[in-house]
Amino acid sequence: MAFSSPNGPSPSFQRIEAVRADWNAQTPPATGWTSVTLPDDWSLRWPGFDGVVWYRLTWEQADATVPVGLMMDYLNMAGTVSLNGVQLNRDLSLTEPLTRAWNTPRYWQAASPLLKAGQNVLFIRVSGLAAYQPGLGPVKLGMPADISAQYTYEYWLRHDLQIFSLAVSVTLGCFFLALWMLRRREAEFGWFGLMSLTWCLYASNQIKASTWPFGSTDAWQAAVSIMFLLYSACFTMFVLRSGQRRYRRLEFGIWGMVVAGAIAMCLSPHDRMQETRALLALIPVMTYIASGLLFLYFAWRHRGIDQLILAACIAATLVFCIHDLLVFVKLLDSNIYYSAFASQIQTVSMALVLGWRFVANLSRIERFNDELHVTVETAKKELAQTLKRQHELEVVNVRLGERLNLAHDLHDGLGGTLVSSIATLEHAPESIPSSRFLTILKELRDDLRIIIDTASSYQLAETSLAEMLAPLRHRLGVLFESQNIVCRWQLSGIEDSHLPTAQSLDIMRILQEGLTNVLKHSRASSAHVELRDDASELVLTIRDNGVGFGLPLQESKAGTGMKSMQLRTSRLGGTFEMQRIDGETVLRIALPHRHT
Amino acid sequence: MQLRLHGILGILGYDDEALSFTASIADANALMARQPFAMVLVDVGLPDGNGIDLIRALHAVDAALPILVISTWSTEQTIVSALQAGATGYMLKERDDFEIGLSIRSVLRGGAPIDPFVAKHILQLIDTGTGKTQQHAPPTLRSPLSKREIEILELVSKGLANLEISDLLSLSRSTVECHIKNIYKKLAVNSRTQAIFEARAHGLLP
Repeated sequence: MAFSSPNGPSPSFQRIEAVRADWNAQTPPATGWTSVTLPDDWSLRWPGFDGVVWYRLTWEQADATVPVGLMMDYLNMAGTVSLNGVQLNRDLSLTEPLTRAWNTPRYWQAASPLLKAGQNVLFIRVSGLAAYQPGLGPVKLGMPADISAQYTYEYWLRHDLQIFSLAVSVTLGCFFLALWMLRRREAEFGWFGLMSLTWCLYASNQIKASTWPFGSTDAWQAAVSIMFLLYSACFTMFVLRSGQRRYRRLEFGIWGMVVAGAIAMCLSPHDRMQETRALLALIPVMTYIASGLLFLYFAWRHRGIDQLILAACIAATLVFCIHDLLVFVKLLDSNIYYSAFASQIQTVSMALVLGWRFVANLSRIERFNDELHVTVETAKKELAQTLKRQHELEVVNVRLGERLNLAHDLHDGLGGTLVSSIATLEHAPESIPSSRFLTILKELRDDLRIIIDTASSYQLAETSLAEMLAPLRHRLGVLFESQNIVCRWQLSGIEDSHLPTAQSLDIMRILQEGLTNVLKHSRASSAHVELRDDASELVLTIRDNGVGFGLPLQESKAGTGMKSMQLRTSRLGGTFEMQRIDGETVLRIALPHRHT
Repeated sequence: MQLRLHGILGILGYDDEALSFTASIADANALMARQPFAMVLVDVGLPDGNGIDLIRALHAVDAALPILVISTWSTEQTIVSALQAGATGYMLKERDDFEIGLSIRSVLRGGAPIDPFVAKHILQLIDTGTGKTQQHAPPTLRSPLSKREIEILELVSKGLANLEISDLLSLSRSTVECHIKNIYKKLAVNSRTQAIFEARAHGLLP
């Protein structure tokens, strides 16, 4: 590449010559010079020559006061540059391990007294190895401004851009590897990360100035080739995984090739290096291109946006790859490798892919959230309906239970009395006084009344004895009032008594019977009712200051009532006591609690 | 029933001439139109119509007329409706003659008979009633029962008789009876006012 200067024709080299020398030559030999053209690869002329080649460039400088710019694109592999006997540059190591200056452009501005009027000679001493395209790249001479501009450009291309793409690759590699480690499922991320890192190592060749950590150029180049093998294999794996395919045997084969290639590289002798390298470059490149095409095929099949983006990037990479391959096999006259640019494109595309995937996932999550919401709402509604139905059923159930209870109450309370009354009448003597008959009927009515009083105070919850007692107590209270009898009630502990209904009815019947006796027969002026329930027993005490019972009980008017009370008490398993204490009639009934 | 009442009232001291019996609402209305009466006993199970409507009509004509409802225990709702319509008291057919006589006597005395289950029902009514009034919030509606009245109702629902209540609250028996009468009155007024309000709200009345 040469920029034409606006100020007249630029000076150019009149003679460019080269001659071989040995490793330790300090001065150029006098004879043996041949004419060469730049860029020059001496392995074409002197195959298999590892050593030092002197290049001599001469030009005529008319005016020494006008400074000139000198630019050397590169020399392969390391060397020194001197102008008119003055050393301009010396690479660090001129013998193995050679300094790797094959990608380093250099620029000098020469002015007098360095620059001489008339003939100027530029000596470039190059140390190189035949396997690695040794020689000298283009050397330019011209106006400092032009040449300097060209140099800046070359430097940027060969150095800055490479560093930039290396940095990008390292970042990408680390990022994707980290991603993969956190999410092992995404195998393609892992392979892409590995791919980037191996590419990093491979591309470091472009900027590395020494063969560290290896001891020789051969070793270094071997490592680079192996790295390229790995890179290509990783790329193949990446393509396969991203297409969700597993070809066990193919993968096995590829990795087997990698191992074989690595071993071959390590074992290859120095003079076979070039062929081995070529092989180890061609085969991976073939697989690389094949994998790339496979990826394009996958993308075309699935048309996922992310895959299409990647496909575009990979297509570009393939183009660069082919170019680099041609450069490598010297079909193209250049030594610039364009693959580095691919990494820039890769970054952008991978970033786009990731972004697209991330957004797609978010949308999926949002949609999932909505679906979940809808599902939950539906489930809630169904649950509410089911609960409501259940509740209604329960209410119906409870009502049925209540009705059943009432039937039981009637049976327990009324039924017993009815049956026993029928029995009494059936087995009674022929003539029964109608008063006896009336008493029986009244007894039945009293039982019914108590059941009615109890039933009318039924609630959904269990009723305690205290609540059941209320109607009876009120009615008796009114009656006592009308007779001007003072009646005191003392209740303790029965708010929490929940007895079976049959027992409650019996107790109330006893109470009613006892108090009716007081009302009708005792001619008392005050009465006292005590109902006490503790943990062990329920005690009912009725006291009155009336005349009491003197005569044999059976014949008194209260006889049947008393018998009925005794009967009921014994049915409840309790004790019945009737005494006369201190002018008071005391009726005491104790009912021990039956433990369930 | 007529015979029975005849008997009871006879014991209380009324002779036959003072008593008039009818068997239907139409007859009753006719009778009322002809002469004034000191007290009316209405059986809410009358064949040709709603006894409660009759009570309401009678109460509208003469607010001071004592009206007693004859009912059975199973129709507590009817009893309370009758009280709301303006009845002064009630009696249950299942009771003894003696007890019925007591009910009538208490009404004549100026009091009002009450039972635990009626008291409970009224208390329930107030609970739902206050809820309703708060919802509608009409300014002209009379406030529900006073604290004292509610207290008395609760004691009745527990089974205490008037004497015991008066002892417990340090009131006289007649005061307690008066309170119960007022409770019934308030029920009637409340229901009437509520009805008017509701009718106005629905546009049935101006």
